[in-house]
Amino acid sequence: MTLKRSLMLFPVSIVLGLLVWEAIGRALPKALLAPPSAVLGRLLTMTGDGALPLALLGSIQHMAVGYLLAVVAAIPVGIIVGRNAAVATAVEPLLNAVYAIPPVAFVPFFVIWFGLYFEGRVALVFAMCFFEILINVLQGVRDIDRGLLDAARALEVRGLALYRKVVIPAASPFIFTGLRVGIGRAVNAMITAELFFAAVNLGQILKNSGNAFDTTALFAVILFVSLFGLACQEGMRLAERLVIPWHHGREA
Amino acid sequence: MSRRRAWALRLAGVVVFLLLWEVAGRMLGNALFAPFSSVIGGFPATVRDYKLFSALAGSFQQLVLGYLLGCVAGIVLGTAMGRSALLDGLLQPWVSMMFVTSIASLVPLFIIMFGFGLAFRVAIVFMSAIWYVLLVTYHGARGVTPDLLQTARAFEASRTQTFFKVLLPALYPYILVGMRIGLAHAIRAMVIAEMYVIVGFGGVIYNAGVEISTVSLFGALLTIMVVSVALTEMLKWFGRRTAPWYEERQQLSN
Amino acid sequence: MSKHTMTRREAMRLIAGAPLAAATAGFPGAAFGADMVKCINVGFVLGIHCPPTYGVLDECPKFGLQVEMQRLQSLRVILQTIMGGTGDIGVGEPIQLLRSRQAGNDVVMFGNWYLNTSLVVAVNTDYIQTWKDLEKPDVTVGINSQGDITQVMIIGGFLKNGGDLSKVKWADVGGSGTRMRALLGNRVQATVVHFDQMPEIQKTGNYKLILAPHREYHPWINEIVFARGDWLRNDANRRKAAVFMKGVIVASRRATADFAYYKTSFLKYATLKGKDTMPESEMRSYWKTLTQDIGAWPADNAFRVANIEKLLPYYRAAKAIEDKPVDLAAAMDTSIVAQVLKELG
Repeated sequence: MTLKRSLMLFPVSIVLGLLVWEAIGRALPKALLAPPSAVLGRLLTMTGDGALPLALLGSIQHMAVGYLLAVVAAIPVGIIVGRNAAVATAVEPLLNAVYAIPPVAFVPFFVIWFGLYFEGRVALVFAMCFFEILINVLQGVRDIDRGLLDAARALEVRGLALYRKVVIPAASPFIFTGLRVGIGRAVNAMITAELFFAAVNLGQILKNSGNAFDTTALFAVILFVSLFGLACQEGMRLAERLVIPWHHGREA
Repeated sequence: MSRRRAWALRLAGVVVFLLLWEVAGRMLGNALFAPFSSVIGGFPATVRDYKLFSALAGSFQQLVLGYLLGCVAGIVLGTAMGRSALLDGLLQPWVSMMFVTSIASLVPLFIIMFGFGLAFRVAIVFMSAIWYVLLVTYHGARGVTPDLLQTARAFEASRTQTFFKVLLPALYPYILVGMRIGLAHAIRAMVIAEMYVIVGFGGVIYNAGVEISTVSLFGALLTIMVVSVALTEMLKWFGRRTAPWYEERQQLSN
Repeated sequence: MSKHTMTRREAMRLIAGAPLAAATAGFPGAAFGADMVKCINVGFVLGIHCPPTYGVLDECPKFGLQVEMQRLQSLRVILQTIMGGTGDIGVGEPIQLLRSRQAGNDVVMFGNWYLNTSLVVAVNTDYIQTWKDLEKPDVTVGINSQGDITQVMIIGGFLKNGGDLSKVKWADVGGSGTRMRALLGNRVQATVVHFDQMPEIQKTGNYKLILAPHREYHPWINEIVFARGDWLRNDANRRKAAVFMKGVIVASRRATADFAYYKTSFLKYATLKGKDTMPESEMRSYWKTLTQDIGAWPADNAFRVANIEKLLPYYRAAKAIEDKPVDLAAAMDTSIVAQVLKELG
C-alpha cells in the first residue's frame, strides 16, 4: 500500500526536480547547463534511434561482471571477517587505509595490470563497489544481537545451519543495504571506467559530446545513465522488500 | 579480546600488507610500482619538495566542513525519507539519480557556482559524502518497527524526544556505517576536488603523478591511507562514546 | 541640474583624474589603481610555461595590470569556466577553442602562450622503428582522448610519412602520467610525453623519440591565450588583454636572450619536483633546447592566422574539429598582439 503510493509520487518528484533544474539553468550562463526541455528532447531522440540503448548494452557488460564479482567476494569475506574477531581486527586498518584512495589514483596501475579494455573496466567497477558492500555486510554480521546467537547456541544450531538460519537472515538488512549502495556505485563505475580507459559505449558518447561542447547531448546521456541507475536501485529495493519483507517496518 | 592482542593483530595485518607491497614493488620497479622501502626512503624528499604536511593541513578544512555538513544532512534526510512515504516518493528518484552520477561531471558547474575557493571544495566533499550517509540511514530507518514508535507515543514522548531517544539509537549502527563510508568518500572527494584546482593535498597527488617515479605519488597516497585510518578510528571512538551500549549488544568474540 | 554644475563636476573629475592617470601610465611599481584581470591557466608548470607565467605575474604589474592566476587541471574545464564567466582570460588549446566556436560559443584567441611544445612522440623500439610500424596489428597508440591535440600531433607525422590511418589502433589513456606508465608497462607502444621525460623513460627500456613537433610542423601551436568574444569587445578589457600579451612578449624576449631571466622564472614558478636542487648545467641545457631548438618564446609571439591554417588539415584528419568550414579570422584576433608589437618596437 505504502509502496505503491511512494512509487506513484516518482513522476511528481521528477517533474519537481526538472523545474528546479530549469530554474538553476536560467540563472547560469547558457554554455554550461542545457535546459531540461532540450535535454529531454535529445534524450528521446537518442533513445529512439537506438544509440543510447545499444551503448548501454555494451556498458552493462563490464558493470554486471564487476558488480557480481564484488558481491560474490564481499558477502563471504564480510561474513567470515565479521564473525572472526581476530581477522576483523587485523584486516580493518588495511581496509580503511586502501578505501580512502580515490579510484582515479589506481587507474594507471589498472591500465598496466589489466590493460585498457574490458578487463581493466571490470577491475575498476569491482574496486569501486567492493568496499561499500563489504563494510555493510561486516556491520550486518557484527550487529547481530548476542541474545540471538546465545539462543541459537542453546538450541544447538551450529555450523552451516547457524549461518543459514541465523547469521545471514539477521544480517540481511545490512546485506541488502550493501547491495543497494553497491549497485549505485557500479553504475557510476560503469561510466567512470569508460572515461578513464579506452572510451567505448556510453562513455564514448559522453566524451564526444563533451569534446563537441554539445551540452544538450552531454546532459541527455547523464540523465539516461541516472535513470538507469535509478532503475537498478529500485530493483534492489524491490528485491529487499520481497526477500526480507519484515524489515519494512514503516507505518502506512 | 584484550587490547594487547588487538594491537598485535593489527600490527600483523599491517606487516603482511607491507611485505606484499615490498615484493610487488621490487618486481615492478620504481617507475611502475615503487616498493615500500623506496617510498619510505624517498619520503623526506617528498615531504620537502611538495610541502606535504602543510598541504594536508590546508586540506582538512574543507574535509571537515563538507563531511560534517554531509553527515547532518544525510542523517536528517535519510531518517525523514525512511519514515515518511511522502518524502520517500518525492526525494528517492533524485537521490538515486544523483548518487550514480560521478562528481567529475559536477565540477565545471560547481566552479561556476562556487568559484575556485573553499566553498567549491566544501561543496564537492558535501555532495560526495551525503548520499552514503543518507542511503544507509534510510535503509536503517525503514526497518524501525512500529512497536517502538508506538511505545514512545504511549509514553507521550514529543517528536524531538522520539527522534533523539528512540529513533537515533535504533539507527545507530546504520548511521555508523553510513558515516564511515561517507568519510572515505569525503576524503576521496577532497582529493579529487583539489586535483581539479591543483591546490592542497590533491594538488600534491596531481603533481606527483606526473613524475616518472612513483615514489612521491605513493608517499602521498600512503599519507592519505594513514590519515584515513586515523580518522576512522576517531569516528569509531566517537561512536563508542555516544553509544556505549552498542558494544555490549554486538557479538564480537567467538 | 544646470549645465553649469555638470560642467564643473566634470572638470573636477578631470582635474582629480589627471594625476592618477599620469601616475599609472607605465610607471614601474604603480600598483595603486592598477587594473585587475582573472586568468585561468593549466595545472602543472614546466620549463616552457615559466617565462610567460613570469611575464604576466611579474612584468604586467609594472605596466599597471594585476593578474590573478587560478590553475585548473583540465584545459577543457578552463574553457568552460571562461565561457561561464568565472574568469576573464584563459590559457587553452586551439583545437578545443575552434570546436567550441563550431558549437556556437563566442570565444576568441588573441595570442600564443608559447610556441611549439615540449611534448614529443615516443615509441617502443621493440615494436616500432618507422612510422609505418604504427599500422602493425600488435601496436596500440596511446593518446589523451580521441580527436585531441595529442592525436593530431601523431597523425600529422604519420600522414606526412604516407601512413594509412585506417590501420592504426588508438587508445584513450588520459593524462601524461598515465600515458607514460602505459608506455612503460607496454600497454601502448607509442604515445606523447614531455621531452624531459625521455631520458628517464629511456633508462627503463628501448624507447626513442620519433617526432618533435617543432621539427615536423612549422610551427606547432599548443597553447593559446583566449577570452570570451563579448569580453574582448569591451575597450577597457582590450587594453587589459594588450597589457597581458605585453607581459608575455616582454618575458619571451628576455627569457630567450638571457639564461638568468629564465632561471629566475623557472625557480619561481615551475611545479617540477627537484627544481631547487637541479644543477645549473641541466637547467641551462634545457633552456638551450627550448630557445634554440624549439624556439618556444618568439620575439613577435608568432600569432598568425597562417600558422593555424597550416594545421587545419591535421585537425580535420583527426576529426578534432567538425567537418564544417572554419573562420579563422573570426576565431583569432591578431590586432592585440599587433598593437603590442608596435608599442614595444
